[in-house]
Amino acid sequence: MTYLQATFPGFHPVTPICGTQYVDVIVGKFYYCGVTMSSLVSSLISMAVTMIVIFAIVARLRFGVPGRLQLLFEWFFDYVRREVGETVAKDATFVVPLAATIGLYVAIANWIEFLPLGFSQYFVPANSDLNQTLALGVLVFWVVQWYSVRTLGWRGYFRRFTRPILLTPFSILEEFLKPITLALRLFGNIFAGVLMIYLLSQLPIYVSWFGVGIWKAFDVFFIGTIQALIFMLLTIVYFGMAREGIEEELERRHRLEPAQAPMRN
Amino acid sequence: MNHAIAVAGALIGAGMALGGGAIGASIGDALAGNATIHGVSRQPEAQGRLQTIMFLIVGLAEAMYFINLALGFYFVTSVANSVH
Repeated sequence: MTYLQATFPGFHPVTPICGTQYVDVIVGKFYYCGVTMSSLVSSLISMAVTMIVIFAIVARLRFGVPGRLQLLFEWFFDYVRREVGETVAKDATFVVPLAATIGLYVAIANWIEFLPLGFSQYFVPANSDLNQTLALGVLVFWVVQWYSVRTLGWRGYFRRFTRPILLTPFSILEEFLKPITLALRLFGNIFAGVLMIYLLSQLPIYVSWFGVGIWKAFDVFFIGTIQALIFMLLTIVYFGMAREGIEEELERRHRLEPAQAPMRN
Repeated sequence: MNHAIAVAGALIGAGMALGGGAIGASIGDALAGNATIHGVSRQPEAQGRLQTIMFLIVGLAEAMYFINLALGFYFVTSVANSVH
């Protein structure tokens, strides 16, 4: 069953690009600077597929009676916009393309697992590498911090963490744990899916075709889709949490200068 | 000998983690399904919205189990490869 999943999953070989010095920790070698070729190639493929799909839809946009795919994407984009409007704010429009892009990219990167990927070690589902998901989580983390500071100002930003003053360490810890849990959730799901495919493909062939088929259908189209949706929705929720205390801040500004209170977002 | 003991301990630990994780995930799924059934029986017209939310919660609850599975396997293999 080599064409199903030949290489052992989860241990992405690292190609060192400058020097071969590494830290030896119990779970593996960590090069100071290196490239994980498999994740790089497969995430580039996912990006290319996402962009091709989106540009194809944009090129065939129609008014009046929309095509089936256009209808699907209009529904998706409308859903994201409604969620952002309810959870974050009506005028936080930049969250909509960010969240929709992340959701679509993660979904397509998960769905690629449905293809038989065992023929080359460079084709893996991109999210089965912790580097990839942690990069997405850190991206969301920084944009959320920027949005929080821009919306609340520095005073409101620090008030978010010191509101019950006793819980300040936990608030700060929670802020840093958000991207880590986001990344670990996605990584754990996709990695477990790849692992199950590998274990099932080790069975004798008259069992494994059935097991792998069922598992791939379930894992890719149920878990992959749900995880992409959860990643997207939690991104939106974190943006919503980043503007907690906006009312107090606006009220304070209003008291300071009643005539022109700045109403940014 | 050391290697065998280490691998046996890692396998027992991974098995316990998987068992506990399965119990937790199934309780979480059952709670989500329970709440959805109650909601639908009260408001049948809200079924579509409730089902979306239910699948979301089921995904969140099962995510913990899959993290368990992945990390348990990771630790077992790393122990098996590193202890001699």
